[in-house]
Amino acid sequence: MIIAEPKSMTEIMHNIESYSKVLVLGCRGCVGICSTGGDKEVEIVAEAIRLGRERADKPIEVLTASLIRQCEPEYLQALVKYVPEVEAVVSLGCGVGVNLIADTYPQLTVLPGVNTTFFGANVRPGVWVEMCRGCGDCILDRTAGLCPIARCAKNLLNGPCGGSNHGKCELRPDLDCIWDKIVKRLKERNELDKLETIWAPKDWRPAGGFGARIMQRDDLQVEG
Amino acid sequence: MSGLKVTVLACNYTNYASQKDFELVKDVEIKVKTFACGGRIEVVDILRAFRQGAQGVLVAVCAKQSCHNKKGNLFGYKKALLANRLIAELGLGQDLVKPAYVKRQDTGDFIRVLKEFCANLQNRE
Repeated sequence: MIIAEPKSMTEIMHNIESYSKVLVLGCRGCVGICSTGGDKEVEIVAEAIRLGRERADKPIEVLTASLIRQCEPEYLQALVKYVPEVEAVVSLGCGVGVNLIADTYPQLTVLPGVNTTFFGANVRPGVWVEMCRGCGDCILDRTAGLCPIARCAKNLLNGPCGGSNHGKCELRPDLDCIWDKIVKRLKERNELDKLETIWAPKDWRPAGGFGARIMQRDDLQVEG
Repeated sequence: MSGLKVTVLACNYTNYASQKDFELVKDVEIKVKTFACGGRIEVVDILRAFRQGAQGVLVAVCAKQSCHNKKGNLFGYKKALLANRLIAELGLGQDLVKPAYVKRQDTGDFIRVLKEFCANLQNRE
């Protein structure tokens, strides 16, 4: 899922300083699951805004809502009724949600309420770890399902570096050396030969760098 | 600070104090809200207490390893820490939310923690 972390209330309050009526908008997708932008967090941020503004003697009206997902135009239709009503939306959705709201409702000021960080997994309660960098040219078939792009501090593609130390990364001792894990796992499976194959240089073009990446599925697009 | 207003959000099993016990805490207007478990105390409850006029909020949860819901006290404590951070980020002050592990069904410990917290707030003036 897409992982996000809360912005500080100081930053949120600064961003809405000039407004007197805002909508705090949650998303029940990834950010809801990672406890950053779901219904509960919407109530917390809304209540904090009300409190901060009351104490500053500048009361504000804060509306709250949550969408099933902020990254789908059909769910964003529910925002129509708020457009003439509020001066700004504080989105607790990921950056995708904020962008799509901005694209869909150009007249509406939308402000991020979270910092979108990475694609990760919830490995245990309260801990999320990056697992994928969305490089667009997946090599997990060769690396026992473990990604050296996202999980190696040096993004190495040819095995562990000289700093791999008893299974730990030299740059981040708290981090497992993912290449150590890859090698051990392939060895257990008698698949080390996968690493003996000479790989063609990785194609980094799908990783971006030329503006927004676009995926088109012709089979899903029909006229009319 | 005279006329201090403090709200206590307490697990049902930490607060057995009577009105007479609360009178031991001088010059403080105390509001108490009791929850079925410390784990049921939400960040929003704490923020709401401030909106309702509290100048400080004590979150009293059962002592470690004594919550009969196993970890409700630990979650309640952590939520109080989060609320404390948000209050600071709003610029309202430092350490205005006090999470406290309190002995179960021990009014003495509960009142001691409450008195300490109130004294801390009163001494800031």
